[in-house]
Amino acid sequence: MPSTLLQPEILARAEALGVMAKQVVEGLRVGDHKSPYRGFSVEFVQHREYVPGDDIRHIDWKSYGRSERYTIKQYEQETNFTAHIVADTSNSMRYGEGLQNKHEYAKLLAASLTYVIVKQRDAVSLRLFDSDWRAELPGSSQMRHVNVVCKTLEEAKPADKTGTGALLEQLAERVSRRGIVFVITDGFDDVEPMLKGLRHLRFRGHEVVLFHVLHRDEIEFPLDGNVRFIDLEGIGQLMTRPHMLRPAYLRAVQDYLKAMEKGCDVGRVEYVRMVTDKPMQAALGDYLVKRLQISPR
Amino acid sequence: MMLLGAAAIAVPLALHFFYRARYRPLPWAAMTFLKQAIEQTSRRLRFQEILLLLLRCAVLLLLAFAIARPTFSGSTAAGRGESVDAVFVFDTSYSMGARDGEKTRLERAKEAALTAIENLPPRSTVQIFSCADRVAALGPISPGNLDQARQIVETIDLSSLTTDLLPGITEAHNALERGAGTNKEVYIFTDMQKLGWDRQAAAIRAKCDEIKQRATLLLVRCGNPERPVRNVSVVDISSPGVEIPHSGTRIPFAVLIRNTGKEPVRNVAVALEVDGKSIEKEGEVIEVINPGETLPVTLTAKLDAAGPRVVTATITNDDLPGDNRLDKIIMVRDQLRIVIVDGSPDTRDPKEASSHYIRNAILPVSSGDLDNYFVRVTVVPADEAGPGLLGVCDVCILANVPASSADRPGIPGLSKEFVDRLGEYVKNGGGLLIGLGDNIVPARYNQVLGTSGANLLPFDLEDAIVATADKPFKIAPDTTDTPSYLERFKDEPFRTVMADVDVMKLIGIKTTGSPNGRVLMRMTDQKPFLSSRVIGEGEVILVAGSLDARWSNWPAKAGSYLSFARMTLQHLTGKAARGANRIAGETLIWNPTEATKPFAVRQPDGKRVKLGRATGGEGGKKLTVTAADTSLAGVYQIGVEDEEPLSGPRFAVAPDLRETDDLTSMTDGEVEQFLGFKPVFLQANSANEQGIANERSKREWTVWVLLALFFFAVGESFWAWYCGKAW
Repeated sequence: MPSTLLQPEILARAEALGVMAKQVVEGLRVGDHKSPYRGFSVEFVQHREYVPGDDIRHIDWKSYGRSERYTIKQYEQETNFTAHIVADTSNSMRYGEGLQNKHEYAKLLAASLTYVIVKQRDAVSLRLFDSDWRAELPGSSQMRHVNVVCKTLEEAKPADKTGTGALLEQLAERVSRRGIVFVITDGFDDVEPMLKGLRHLRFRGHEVVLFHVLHRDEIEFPLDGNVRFIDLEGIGQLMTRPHMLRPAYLRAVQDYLKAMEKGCDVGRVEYVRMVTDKPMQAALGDYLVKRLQISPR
Repeated sequence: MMLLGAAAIAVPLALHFFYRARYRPLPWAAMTFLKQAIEQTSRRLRFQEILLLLLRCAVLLLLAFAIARPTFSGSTAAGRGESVDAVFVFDTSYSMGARDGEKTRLERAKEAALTAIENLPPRSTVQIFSCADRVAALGPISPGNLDQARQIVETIDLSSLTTDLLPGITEAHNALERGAGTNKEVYIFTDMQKLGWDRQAAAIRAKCDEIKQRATLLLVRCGNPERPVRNVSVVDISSPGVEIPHSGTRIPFAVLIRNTGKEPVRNVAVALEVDGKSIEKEGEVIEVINPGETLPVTLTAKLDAAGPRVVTATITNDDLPGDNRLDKIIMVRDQLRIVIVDGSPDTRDPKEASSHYIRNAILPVSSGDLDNYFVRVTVVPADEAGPGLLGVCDVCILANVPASSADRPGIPGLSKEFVDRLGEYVKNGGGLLIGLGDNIVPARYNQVLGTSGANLLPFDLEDAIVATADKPFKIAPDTTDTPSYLERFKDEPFRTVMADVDVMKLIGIKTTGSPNGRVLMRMTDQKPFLSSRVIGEGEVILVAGSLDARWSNWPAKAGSYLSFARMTLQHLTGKAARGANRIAGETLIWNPTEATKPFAVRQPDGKRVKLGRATGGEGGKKLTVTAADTSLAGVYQIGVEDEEPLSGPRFAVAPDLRETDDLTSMTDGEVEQFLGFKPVFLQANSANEQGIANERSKREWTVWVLLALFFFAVGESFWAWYCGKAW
């Protein structure tokens, strides 16, 4: 874990991040996402028959659809698990302005997840990477760990190229105990090594969630005029008229996204696309609701 | 200007690169997808950029081209604005005088030319030529002086010449060289008569092709193609009989008229006058003369005074006046002096004299009327024939006269002095008729009068040929050479009476080796019977037989013998007038006896033209005065320059009748086929101004270029918008 001398402004920003994360999470409680959540559970144990008085939020509606009998899902109670947050801090994450900046978005997501998980007394570890690991925080379930995480996140500056695949493979070898791995990246790297790394994590028994953070521009390419594109991770430049390339670009992007989704689906990795123009509260909330509605793998 | 416009295409090129600097920088993460997209679309993008660049270059090029006001080739034709070097060629052959509507063709040509001048752009020039079968430059002195050009056009007159457009077209081509401008137009104002194009077709075609390379060729049709021209020509005036014109008599003349048009002409009034005296005019009205028909109209004229007289035949009531008048000069004699040298005179029995029959043929009057008869005949034996006789005679007849006294012992022949003088006499216009006979020694004749001597004979003589009593030689009038004064012997009744003559003896004629002789009539076995030779101003007629009854019964055949004698006399005495009758375009030649002062000629229109001094006079050469400009038909008179009135000889110039032999005009299609390309055709009518303006506009590409420019500009705007590269 890199050690840094925290600057006041960094500390201030870290605190602000923590506050924002908290707000996000709290917002999930009382905001648009009225659906209660019980945090994350790793293992689904069994069904039992519903008896009056059970929390109807745990009724397995799918089972009801099949058998027309009310059953309750039972989870492993109070399991201590570690959530490993792996966030991309390569140069490619620098795209975007303000809160739509991918790096900022990823930071907020990571901070929010940390807050949620620590709040339910589970441990969170944090790893930041670009072409190599830039920061590694061991797991902790202490609330003050949230500040540490936020500070680390705040100190991180996007740099260098992305080398996701190899680093995920390393992580899979390092982390022995099963947990949940949240990979937060824009995925602008070789697809196959990345998917391989994710599959390796799955093979090791982890639940893997890929938060694919993308800017709207990168998906829809709404640019116009004459543009000199400067590669954030390279030294190359391309001068072109975006609207002339748009159809071909969109085809390329869609092919890539389909490949990512399909690769995740095949590897039983949960794929969550996070577009930075969607407020974090709504985006994370949607994800958590969806998570509750589907069976954990 | 086009070069400047061409340089302007550097603008889009510069802008093309300028655009590269207008790209806004954008840091970008998803370069992979961008590169993929570029790879997939690079070819299309490059094509779009190139196309846009080409469109923009094309727009500027077209704009420059439009500013340059391009025209079709011949290229040098003017668009509406730029100055023009114009060359006008007027067809002034007399067919342009035809009235095939309200106006004559020449009037239409003038109107069209004036309109063309009015429509010339500023700073244009004009050079005007008239052309019939020769060209004359009319001006203006300064080609830029359009006012003078207008005046010249208005004063253009017709000639009596036939059409040949080559000289005019050639001169027009040369005139193009003198113009300094680049826009050139050649106008040919003509009635498109086929004759004018056909006469030197290949050369005209070639010259027009040369003109086409440098100028626009405009053919202005001045005739009305829908209205055929009715035309009757006066073809000839001749004496139908054998009378020799002499003073104090009224003799008949045959005025030959011909319908050369394609329509019948009615009520043609034919008139005849002498020396312009209309009081004495005699006329006749021909009810109708059909196309192609030739009619002789016999009219009489009283010949009061001796000397050259102008007999004029006129007709009226057709559309083309240029050939409605024919002047002819005839020599009227108060006396005709004939000397007959008799080679075998016989005072005891005049009938036996060689001169007997020919004398009587010449004097067809009784002895009591001889003194009043205009023909005076002197018969002398050979030994009395001196050179002095030839000074006072119009025709000399040698009847069976030996060439020299040595030929036949005891029979006198021609003296050397007489022979020498005879040669001079003939060269100066005298007529010589030679009849052969027993006194003739062919070899001696050749030595004295033939090629070895005075060289007066048409052909040298050979030995005599004698026919058998049962098979005499016969004359073949069908062998009469034409045209000749004996043509009438081919027709009846002369033909029969001539064929009836029996000839028992002939002198052979050696026709080879003498290019100057001409056989006028032969025997049935092709032996020459009558031959002639023109020597200087005179002529020699040779009879291979005798003029008496010894070798043939010809004198007994009065119809033939008398006719031959009268025709021959008429022919030999008429030579004096022949030089005075010319056709338009031929040079008038006069040999004055003295020339101390310069000469002038009065033309039929009354103008006097100076001719300068006579040439020649040294080394025995005759003094000669020539007048070359005879483009107008009518009577010319040459005389001393400051003389009033002119006392020299008159000449009658007839219009060149080839002009009206065929009045067919070529259609536009035929002209185009003839030339091998399409010139500009204009009709000389009131629509000229618009026609010429429309032709100049049509020759410009500007409108088309602007139209193309418009479409290219719209295309460029659309494409630029599509490619995101709008200006």
